[in-house]
Amino acid sequence: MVWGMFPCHTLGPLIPVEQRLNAIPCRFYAPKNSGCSEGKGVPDPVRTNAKMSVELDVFVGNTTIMDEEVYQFWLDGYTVNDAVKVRMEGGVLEECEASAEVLRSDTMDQYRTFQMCERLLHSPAKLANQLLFQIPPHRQAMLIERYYTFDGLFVREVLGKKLSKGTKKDLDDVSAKTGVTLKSCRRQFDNFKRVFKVVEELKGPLVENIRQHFLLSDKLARDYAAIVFFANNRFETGKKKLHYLTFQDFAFCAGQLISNWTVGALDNMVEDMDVDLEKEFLQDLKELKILITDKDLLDQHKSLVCTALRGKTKAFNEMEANFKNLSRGLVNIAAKLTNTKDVRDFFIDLVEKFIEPCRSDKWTAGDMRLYLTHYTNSAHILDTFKHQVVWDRYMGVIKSCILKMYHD
Amino acid sequence: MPGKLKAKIVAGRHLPVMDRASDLTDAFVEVKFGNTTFKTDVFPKSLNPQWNSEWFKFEVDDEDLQDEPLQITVLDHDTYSANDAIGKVYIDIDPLLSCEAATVISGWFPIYDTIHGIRGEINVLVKVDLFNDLNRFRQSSCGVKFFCTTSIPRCYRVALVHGFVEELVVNEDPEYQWIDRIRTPRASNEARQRLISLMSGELQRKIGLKVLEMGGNAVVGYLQCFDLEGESGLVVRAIGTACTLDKLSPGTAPNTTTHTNTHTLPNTAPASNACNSPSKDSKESPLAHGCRSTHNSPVHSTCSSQRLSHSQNFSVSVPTLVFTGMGSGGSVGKEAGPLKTLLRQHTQSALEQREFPIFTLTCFPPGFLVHVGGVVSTRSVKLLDRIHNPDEPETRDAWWEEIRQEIKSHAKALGCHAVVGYSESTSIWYTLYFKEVCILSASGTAAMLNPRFMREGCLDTGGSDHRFEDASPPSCGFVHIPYDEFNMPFPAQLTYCYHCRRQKVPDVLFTTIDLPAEAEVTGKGCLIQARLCRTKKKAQGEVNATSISNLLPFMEYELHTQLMNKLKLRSMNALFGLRIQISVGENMLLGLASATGVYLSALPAPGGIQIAGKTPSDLSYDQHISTMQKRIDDTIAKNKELYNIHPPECIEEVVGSPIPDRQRSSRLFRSTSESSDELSELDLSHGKKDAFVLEIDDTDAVEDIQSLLTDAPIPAGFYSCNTEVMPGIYNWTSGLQMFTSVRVYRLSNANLTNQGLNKIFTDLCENLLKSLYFKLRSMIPCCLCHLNFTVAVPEEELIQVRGHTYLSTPLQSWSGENEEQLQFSMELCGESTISNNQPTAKPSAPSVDYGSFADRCSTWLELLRLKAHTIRRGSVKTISSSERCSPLPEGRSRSLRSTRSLPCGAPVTVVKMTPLSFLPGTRIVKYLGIINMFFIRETTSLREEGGVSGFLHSFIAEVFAMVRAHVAALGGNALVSYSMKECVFMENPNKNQAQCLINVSGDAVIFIRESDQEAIPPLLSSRQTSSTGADGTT
Repeated sequence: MVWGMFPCHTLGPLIPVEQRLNAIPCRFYAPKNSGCSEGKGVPDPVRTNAKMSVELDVFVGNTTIMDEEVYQFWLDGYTVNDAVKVRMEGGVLEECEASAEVLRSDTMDQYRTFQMCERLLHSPAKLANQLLFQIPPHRQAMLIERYYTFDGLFVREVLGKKLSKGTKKDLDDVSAKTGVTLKSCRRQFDNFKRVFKVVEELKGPLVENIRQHFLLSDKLARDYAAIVFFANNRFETGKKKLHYLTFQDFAFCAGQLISNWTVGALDNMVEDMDVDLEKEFLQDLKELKILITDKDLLDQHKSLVCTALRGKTKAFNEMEANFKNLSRGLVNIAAKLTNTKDVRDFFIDLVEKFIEPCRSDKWTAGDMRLYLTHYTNSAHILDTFKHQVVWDRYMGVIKSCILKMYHD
Repeated sequence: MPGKLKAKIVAGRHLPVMDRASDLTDAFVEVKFGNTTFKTDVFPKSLNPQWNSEWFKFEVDDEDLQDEPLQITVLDHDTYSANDAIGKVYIDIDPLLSCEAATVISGWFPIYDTIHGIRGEINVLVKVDLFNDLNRFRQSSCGVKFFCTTSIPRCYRVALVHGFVEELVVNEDPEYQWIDRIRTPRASNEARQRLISLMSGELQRKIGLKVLEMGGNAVVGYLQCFDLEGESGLVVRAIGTACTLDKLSPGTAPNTTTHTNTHTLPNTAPASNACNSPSKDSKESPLAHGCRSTHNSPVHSTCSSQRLSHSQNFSVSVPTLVFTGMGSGGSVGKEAGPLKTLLRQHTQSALEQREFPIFTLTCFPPGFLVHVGGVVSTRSVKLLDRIHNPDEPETRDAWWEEIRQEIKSHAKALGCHAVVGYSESTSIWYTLYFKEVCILSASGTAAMLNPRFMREGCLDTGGSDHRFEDASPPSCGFVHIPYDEFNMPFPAQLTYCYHCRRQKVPDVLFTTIDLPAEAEVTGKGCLIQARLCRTKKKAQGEVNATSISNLLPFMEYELHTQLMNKLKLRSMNALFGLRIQISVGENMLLGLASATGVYLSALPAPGGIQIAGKTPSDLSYDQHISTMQKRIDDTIAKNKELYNIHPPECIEEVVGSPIPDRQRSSRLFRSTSESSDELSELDLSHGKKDAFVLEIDDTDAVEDIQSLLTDAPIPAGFYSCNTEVMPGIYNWTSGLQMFTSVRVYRLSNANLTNQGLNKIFTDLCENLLKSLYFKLRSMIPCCLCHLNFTVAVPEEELIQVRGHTYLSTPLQSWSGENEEQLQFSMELCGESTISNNQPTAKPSAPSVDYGSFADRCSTWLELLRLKAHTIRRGSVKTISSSERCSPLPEGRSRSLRSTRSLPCGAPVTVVKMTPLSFLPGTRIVKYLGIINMFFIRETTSLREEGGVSGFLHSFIAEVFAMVRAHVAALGGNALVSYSMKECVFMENPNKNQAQCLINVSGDAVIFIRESDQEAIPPLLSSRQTSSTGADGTT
């Protein structure tokens, strides 16, 4: 017909009606009175109004589009409903006159996309050469980086714990304590575990391994290295006395330990990985004991340090009075590190034996720096002390760790 | 033995774990073509096997090469039990058969399983050695190029347009064979996928033969459809336009229309069904087809009465069938000027000898289109019956033939000799126990064409060409009426063309084609949709068919009315790309018409809309009417601003309307049937001249008007259209994104009135649009092009709406192309000027002051209230030439970092997909062949896969991935003219099952950025550097 005018409709050839059993493939024929079509696991249909509901709602782009804000909600473990609520409060709606159902549908789409991507995010290298999602490289980097980003509060809780099923079971407590949703806790925990498993079997520098395998930024790779290092050596971080320390404090210390006290620290082409402290070095540390066992040496050391410090700090008297105690503390820590148990208590020992006494004497950070510098350097002048190299390797790390940890 | 197919299996990656014990897989590959199968060795215990097989060689007929797909199956070797299939890859090797397309298929393909989806990837190499067969009686048609694109492909020049080609093959649907009761769903799905792949191959080959017979070398606007007729069978049909194309050498400008008469092949007679070679899988014994009596339903009579009473109030584009009996088109022009007659006769001769002067093109080479008449369409309701003999698909053929004949006669009634922008579609309703009902529809635009492209060898071609071009000035010629003004096929209001003042033009023009490039448009265009939902009694068989045919005319009429109202409301006077869809369900019919409205400068300005009350006595009622009138006037004024329509004032001169006075003010009616008998009683004296009068006689009408006004306004910064090019906007960045959205709604109460249903349906469409706008809010200002909706009623109380659109923003582009267009687009949006015709590709400018450019950008962006990240992106990169010559140390170093952060191994080629026939801001340098794929996905763990939405979401993503992989393997970097023709979704939540079928198609191409000067692009490397470079800047 000429459109707008009316056509002549013709019926097709007529055939006597016959019974047919299988017009719709029987697998897909749902009896008409089958009632609600929603399965248990299927998200509730969106009620748009009393007369209709959305059964299915899908939006797919050739290039996968993602809203960073929604991604964050998803990562934070918000449910769709919560995310919609927060977004509504955020005022997206006013911005473009959309209704709540539009927002909900968008959120659901995004959540689905993220869920499908999650599998790929578990091995980020796959994300770049998979074919399912076409995601521009900078977006891929964003997805990965955010997926592996963790909450400082959460990581503080599990730092140094064994990344085992048992720990995972306790995550609900951690969630309640930190206010991080359980879903997010699980994701973060699984991330730690995954990174741990992968690098455990690899040779070479830890940070570089993490960066290459998980395509993370340098900063994040270093943080993960710290987590892996802590988990591997099971450092105690949960004691009350250590509560004041943040993850970043520990991460810094871990970085120091990794780069100075592990096998890889000296020779990064070495076969072994650098998650373990170098055995020989720990053995050598025992030799430092002479600094406290030899009375002369101790006195000589004290006088050298006091000479250098005199008049330079208000806390001089306390320093002088406490010198022997403090020195004993540090050297004892060094001497005991061959024991795995004492390695675990490394940080608690540092705090108990050194940081707390200093704090009670009201040393400033400047005092601390001054003291440690002279304490380290003076040992070189001691002519009977032969272990200069080990001493430097030890004190270098101890000094920077203590300086980092010395705060309220 | 005219062809040797060679395949090599290189490697696999990301394979699934098939052996739980070792968490590994012992994979091997079977390569099958026709009946020959080869196997690779087992690569034990690996998820990333390296087979590196020898070349498997298949020596086959080229006929088979065209029909069969290469079938690659990845299996897990199992010593004790049967080997488990991991998945399959079907590779259509057709693109390798044409010398101009791809030469090798090489790349990573997703391994697809109909139950599990994509399971890893496999790297395959395929080559074909073809020995040319010049046998006249061959059954193959290698070398004929196919294009889905409905315009002349960008790197070709058309020498001849031969005309319409069609073919149809039928088969039994494996899903419904008895064997389906015993085999696994996987086997059933695979049988179906393979069969359809075979059938499309066969169809393409047969069409190719017809093209060769006609002397052409290509099919443009190739449209292939599947009709899943359930038990009745499976129909694969295709239409297209046969052409002779010349490849343009890279240096030539695409628009040269030199008249080379090299292709003087005689036009053969209309294509016959000469090549009905038996299809491969047919096993059904030929049964004589029963009764073929055509049932002339009562529809006919009611229809015609309706037609008469309504028709007089229609404007130009809606001519009546009163003139159907008018004989041949020639007689129409008997009073016309000599030139017109000459033109008519001339083209007549070229077209007359064809059975169907029908063209599937929507975009034409300059000068091809002479005049446009209006939209013609036909619908026919059929009862489906089992296809008894697949080798003789005569019934289906006859149906379509009937419809095409009707279309042709409609075009003649409009004084046109051809139909352009033609398309066909079906809507099938499956019932459980009874025959399926099917609506066959066809629509197109009646037009007069320039015969120059049709036929050559006429001695006076050059001379007459010259005169034709004189007769119709290029920019307004096509709107001039093709019919004779004293013998108009329908009442219309004619004026002299506002452009040339010489020829008559109608007041409104509806077409299915794209806006011709030469057309002059005032202001911007916009998407106009008419939506309609009608209830229908549940019925079966014949009764059902009758009631559907009874409803159809009313639906079409109402859709038309709605379109007209909305057009007037936007003060526009022409529709392009009109697409009308009517789908049938068990208890309702859905109608959806979409088009792009524009204000054509050559047509008269549309009048306003005036509301007329029926009972003027009531004071409050009057007041109500006047407030409504005011609202309408306000909306019109607002829309004029919005779309920037400010036509120069002209003195109105209505000429030559043969219908007496009352036609002067064409009226617009509420379209329900009862209004028809009141027509003549209406007093129109108070209506202002040429205003549309909207009559309110009951509450329904009020609602109609309300709904007219409640169309949600499009948010600021968005433009939308359903054509390829947004009228009134000329600056584009290279295209960005293609989206598909599918929604299914359940109506909870089936006992709804028409009004209620209408409201719901309108809401659905509006919601989908709103969702799109919301999701894309960060990309404004942007334009949604080719925004197309498909509606279906898959089940009782279910409505499925599918939309796919192509987003083109003038601003943001992640892959980093065409930042040089940034400034123009922003100017465009910031100041909303339309006269921005600067060429977008800058001639190699010297390096630009980086900082000041960024400054300018950010001011504009602030002006536009854009998001922070857009500012960052927009401001960094400058003109591409500056990237080349001026060192950008910062960007360089950052991009280095970004490449380093990528994992080793070749990155995946970015493949763009677009429903448009081109990528804005780029140049297509090579067409690699047609992509036509059919996938089935099924699940028995629907809930675990995230419910229906999760299931469909991942399936669509998988389909995109497979399409991209095939394009990339052909060496392409984009798929143009993409369309998802079929998306059938079925679920059975009680059994936790769902199945979905998707058919996608498009043309694989290689494009380069317009700014790139090299003739031959170093394809892969340039893509990579451009994307990493862009990454560095963001």
